[in-house]
Amino acid sequence: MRKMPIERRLLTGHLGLVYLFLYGPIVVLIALSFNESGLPTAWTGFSMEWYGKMFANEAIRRAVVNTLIVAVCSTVIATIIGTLLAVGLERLRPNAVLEAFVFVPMIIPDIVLAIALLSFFTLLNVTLGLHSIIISHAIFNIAFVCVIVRTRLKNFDKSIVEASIDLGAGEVRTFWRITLPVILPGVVAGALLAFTLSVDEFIIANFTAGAGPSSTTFPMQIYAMIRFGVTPEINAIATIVIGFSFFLVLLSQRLNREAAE
Amino acid sequence: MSVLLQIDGITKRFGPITAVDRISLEVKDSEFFAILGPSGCGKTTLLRVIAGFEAPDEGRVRLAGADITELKANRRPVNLMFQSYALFPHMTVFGNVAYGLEMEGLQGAALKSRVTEALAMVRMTDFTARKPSQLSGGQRQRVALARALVKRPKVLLLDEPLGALDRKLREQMQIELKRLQQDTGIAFVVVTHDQEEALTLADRIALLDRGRIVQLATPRELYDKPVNRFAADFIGLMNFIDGTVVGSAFDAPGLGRLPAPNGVADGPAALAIRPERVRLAEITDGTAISGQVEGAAFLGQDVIAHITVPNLARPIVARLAAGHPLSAKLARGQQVWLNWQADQAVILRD
Repeated sequence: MRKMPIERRLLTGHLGLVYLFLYGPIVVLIALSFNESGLPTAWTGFSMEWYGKMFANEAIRRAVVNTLIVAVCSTVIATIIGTLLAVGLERLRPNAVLEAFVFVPMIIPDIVLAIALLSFFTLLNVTLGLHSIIISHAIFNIAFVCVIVRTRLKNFDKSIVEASIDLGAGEVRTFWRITLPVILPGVVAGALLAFTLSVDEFIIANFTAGAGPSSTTFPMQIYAMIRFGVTPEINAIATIVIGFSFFLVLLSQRLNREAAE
Repeated sequence: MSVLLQIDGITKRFGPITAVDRISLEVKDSEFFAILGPSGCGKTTLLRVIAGFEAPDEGRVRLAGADITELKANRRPVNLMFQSYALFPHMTVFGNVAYGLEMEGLQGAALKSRVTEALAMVRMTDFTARKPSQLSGGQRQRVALARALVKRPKVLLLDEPLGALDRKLREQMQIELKRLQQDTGIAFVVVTHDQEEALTLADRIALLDRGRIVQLATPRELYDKPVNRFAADFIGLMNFIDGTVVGSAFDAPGLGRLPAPNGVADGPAALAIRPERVRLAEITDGTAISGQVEGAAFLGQDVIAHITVPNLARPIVARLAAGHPLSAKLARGQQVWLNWQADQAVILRD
């Protein structure tokens, strides 16, 4: 084997350190979720016990169901509105102010958005619950979906829309049969991101959920549990969430790659 | 032949720019019509007005006697082949061609036979299941053609149809386009900036400059009798000699009287002569002007020679058939005599 030049080796070493820094804690967490003793200090043997306990926990199960309801509903709303917003913005003359307003919900701190939403709901006398979390999540997700769909629209050959009209299709049919299928990978990627963001979102949900277990989402549940210390059960939950997120990322990358071909 | 498409005083402005300025023209049944001009001359805008993608500010568009100015693009019996072809990337070749017929409500066997027929017309029957990304540029163009032709439009509009193809393929497609036009009997209106393309394809050409028609004529007329310097310069190669018309003779300063057609009113003018009309000789035959060979290039079928003439700013370009006795022995610095027939030169006023 030929010896690598020193710069190459240093770079490789640096890359290794970066990955270690990123994934070290996560690997530890995954390992601990299979630790029989349940203590972070010593490895006593492999066990699936904590996974069993977790699945048996009624509060966790309910929180997961709540989170799925919130994530699915807010994703559907955000995907529809965000996609239409992107298509609409693309048709307008370039307008920097309008563009900036789309980005704002992505950039402002969650805590600010959370307070704003809470004040807004209170002002309108909206009772808090899952529905208010759904609306809140939809709001920032619209921005994310819109931005992702727009990148897809940037490479979109607008003459195919004219070609469709030239061949006798109206605007609506052109959207369903030409525009939407072509931008679909972007729409799906946006939806996946929206779903992931919603599943993982804590601050806004915590502010807009109201009281009671009926509107406690999964991150809120973990937060509640962690106040009594990190239990191995939480490690098991976290491991499943990591696996799920990984799957979603791979899926969206694959969709983007297929779209690029 | 009767008039099929009538463009009547069309004007289209974009803000302060007048892209199309009071253009009127008529396209006849089964005619191959070309709209030719440099980029920015308004030809594409005019095409889009005919297709229905741009509403004109003034003027009317009539098709087979009916006013279609207000008709939406999707209701016009006119189809456009886009410069980029604009094939639907998510559909197969078959799907692309079938799309327009589906919009008419055609289904099943009738749809299939019409699509197959159209694909056979452009020799793409073997590619029905392919996606556009799996086709070459030439194949994509054939599909785009089939997609537009399958609707049996009254007029087929083509936006720079050969622009994206390499030279060999262009020549092949030129012949193919001409054949398709004759087979279908559909009137073709092609927009192009390529004068050669317009000359070979079209029955008639409208030459545009800055939103207006400069000349509307057959290719032969346009080539032989350009109406002004722009038209003469845009089509093919042309030599210009500035001078004055005095008593129906053309005088160039420092060169004297040059062979020119009669019947032109007195005043300053330019004489225009095509390179292939310039005759070269080693000895004088009386009326000719003399110059020195600056260089000669062998092009296969013919030889292009640049000849510097005293008192002329630009050298005269002459084109000789490769079989011409002088063509093989033109040497730099050699003295030659130039001449041409009076009726083959054109006197231009502006």
